[in-house]
Amino acid sequence: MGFDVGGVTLTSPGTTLSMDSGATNWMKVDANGILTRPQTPFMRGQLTGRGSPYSAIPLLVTADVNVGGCWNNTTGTWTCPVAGYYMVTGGNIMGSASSYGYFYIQKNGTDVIFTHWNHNASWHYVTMSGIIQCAAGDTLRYVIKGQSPASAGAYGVGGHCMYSIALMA
Amino acid sequence: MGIDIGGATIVKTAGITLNTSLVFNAAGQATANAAPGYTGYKSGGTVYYSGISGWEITASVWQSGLNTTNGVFTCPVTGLYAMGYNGIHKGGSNIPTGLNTYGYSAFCKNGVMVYWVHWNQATSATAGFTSWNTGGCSALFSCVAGDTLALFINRSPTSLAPDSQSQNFGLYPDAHHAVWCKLVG
Repeated sequence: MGFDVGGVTLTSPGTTLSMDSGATNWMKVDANGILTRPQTPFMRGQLTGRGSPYSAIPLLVTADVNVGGCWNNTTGTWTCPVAGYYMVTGGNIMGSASSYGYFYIQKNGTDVIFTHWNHNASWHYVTMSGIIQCAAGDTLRYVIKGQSPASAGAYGVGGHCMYSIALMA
Repeated sequence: MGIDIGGATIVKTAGITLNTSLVFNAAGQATANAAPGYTGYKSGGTVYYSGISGWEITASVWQSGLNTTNGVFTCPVTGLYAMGYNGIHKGGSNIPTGLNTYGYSAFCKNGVMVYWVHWNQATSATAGFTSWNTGGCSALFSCVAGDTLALFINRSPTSLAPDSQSQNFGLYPDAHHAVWCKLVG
């Protein structure tokens, strides 16, 4: 037995409560109360094959996972599909040469939060995270700038750097 | 068109709205209108360690349930809360004479500090300076309604007489750092 609410169905297959639009599951609550929402917008990516150091503006992260298609590999931009709170994380290792600079998360091209590195001939691990409140259509991106020397940046070989964005709710 | 279950409604909008606050759009992407938590930072100042209650989040990007005078967040409901911070620990040429270049930070639940992280600055790219040390950590907390969460900067696991504040230096203020917390489940 289930309910049809304008084409979205609420059903109870077995001991699970499920909300589906056609064949697409929107939400499921199992018998233990565990809630899943498989359409949650989410991306995870890296600077695969970008060389080192790498500091293009914005960082052209290649998504390994891109649920909802919100991340654009070509422009390095996430476009928020709905208003909400988005978890944004980024982790880089900055090049081995002596350098300093800044790592930013930008919303609509404006700096929201940032952090700084300054090292002398050693790899420097620079991470950042935040929960950004956004409206539908807002954009998020990663930026490295203010670096010295100008060639300083993240190690873009293989999977040494990692980035992710997800709608929390 | 919708369903009323004792006052809680399931209504067809572009997608579905549950009990007026959990909204699914036409693609099945959900947002909840109530958002306990915050993202923010301490604005300004020249003393970069916590006050007696915690790291002061005087400038919030968004917040619900945060005391902005002392950085203490009060959980409105029982649940799982994610908390984290990132920033740069004080270095450069501005560490006052006599203070150390290392320190500790910790998350604090109901006034009890747990989950420490430590930094200890190395040599910077600029000759004669001590580097800015990129720091931060994150953790999940199981809380009941009324529990409090806070971040402490420069409080060590082992008490240093009279207090670790007097030996060490802390986190650079303003948007150079971010502290965040949110109900996640």
